[in-house]
Amino acid sequence: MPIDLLLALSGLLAGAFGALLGLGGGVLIVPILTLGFGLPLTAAIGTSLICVIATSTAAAAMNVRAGRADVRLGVTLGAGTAVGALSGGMLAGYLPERVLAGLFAGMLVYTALTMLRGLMRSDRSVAGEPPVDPTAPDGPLAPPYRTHRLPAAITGAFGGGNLSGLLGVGGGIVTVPIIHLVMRAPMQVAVTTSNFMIGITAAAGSYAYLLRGDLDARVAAPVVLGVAIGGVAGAALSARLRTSWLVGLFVLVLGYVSWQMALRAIAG
Amino acid sequence: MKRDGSDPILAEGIAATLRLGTILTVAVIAIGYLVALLTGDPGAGAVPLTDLIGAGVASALLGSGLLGLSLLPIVMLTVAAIGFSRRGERRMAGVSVGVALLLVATLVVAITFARPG
Repeated sequence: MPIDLLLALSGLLAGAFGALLGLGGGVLIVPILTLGFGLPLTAAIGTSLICVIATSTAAAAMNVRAGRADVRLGVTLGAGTAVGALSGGMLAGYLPERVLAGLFAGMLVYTALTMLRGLMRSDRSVAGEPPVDPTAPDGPLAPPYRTHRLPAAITGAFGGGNLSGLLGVGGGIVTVPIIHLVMRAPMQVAVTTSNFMIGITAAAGSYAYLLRGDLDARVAAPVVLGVAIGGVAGAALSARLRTSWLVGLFVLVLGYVSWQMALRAIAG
Repeated sequence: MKRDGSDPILAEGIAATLRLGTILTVAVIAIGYLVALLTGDPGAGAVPLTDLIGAGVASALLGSGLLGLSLLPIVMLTVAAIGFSRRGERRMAGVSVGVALLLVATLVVAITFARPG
């Protein structure tokens, strides 16, 4: 099978999984490109950031239009993530590949544990949160809410942006808890607003990779196209599928991939 | 920070920018990729984006598409700033412009300090 087709299929898979599970897809794209295609980690991270921009902007367009994402909050916190992403992207150029692989393995373990915890608590969360009506005229978030501790949240957003620029992920695993737990916004606002911010964050992180010459456009193109198509397909499927078994499967995949990345970090 | 309800015009402007921008840039990447496949262009390899834009039709299209996608959030923030300004929300318009300028600044910093790999 031609390598172009394999790259596109990998992007398709990552995009579909990402849309089904509410992820940017970076946690899959980076390991696929490094472990599956032998790309240098910095090239995989740069490609992943471009893919994350595409998935974020496509999903954010729908969320903003439906009134599900808080644009004011997203733009304000975007200041913190943008600076963090630039510093992360610049730093990645100076860190040895094995250090990046080790950090990525740690991030994957954290993501897997977070998803597993969410899966175990999902029944209780659904029962505790008010029902969401996406067809409501003002979107599901019409009741006003007040967010708290903005300076602390911007500082935390800087950390999320740093992780994004350094490892090529969206940074949602940091920004969602910040918006929900630190700022006390409803969970759905946290998820959709984080997704809106991810475009800003990934763009800031991608500039260092694009201009440093880490990215091979001929390799990145089929992955980006696959992710774009996979994202649309995943979003269409998400309404019809129960994703709980997918989360379980994904946690297993993350566990395996984190082990492989850890081996790469140890072997150098 | 208090949420003050939705604004369909502002939201529609931002959503349209994101939707059209994504479609347009992904289409440019797809055309560039198709041209590369049809002409057998192996690509310029891992080179800075600035070099890519001057390296043949396929590479130029791919480079333009990737650059366009990465610049899309700046365009979106500009549209948001205009929307906030029209609503009389000077503070949010300023924040939007500030974050857009921050992204422009990160681009300048990346051009200036990014160490070639």
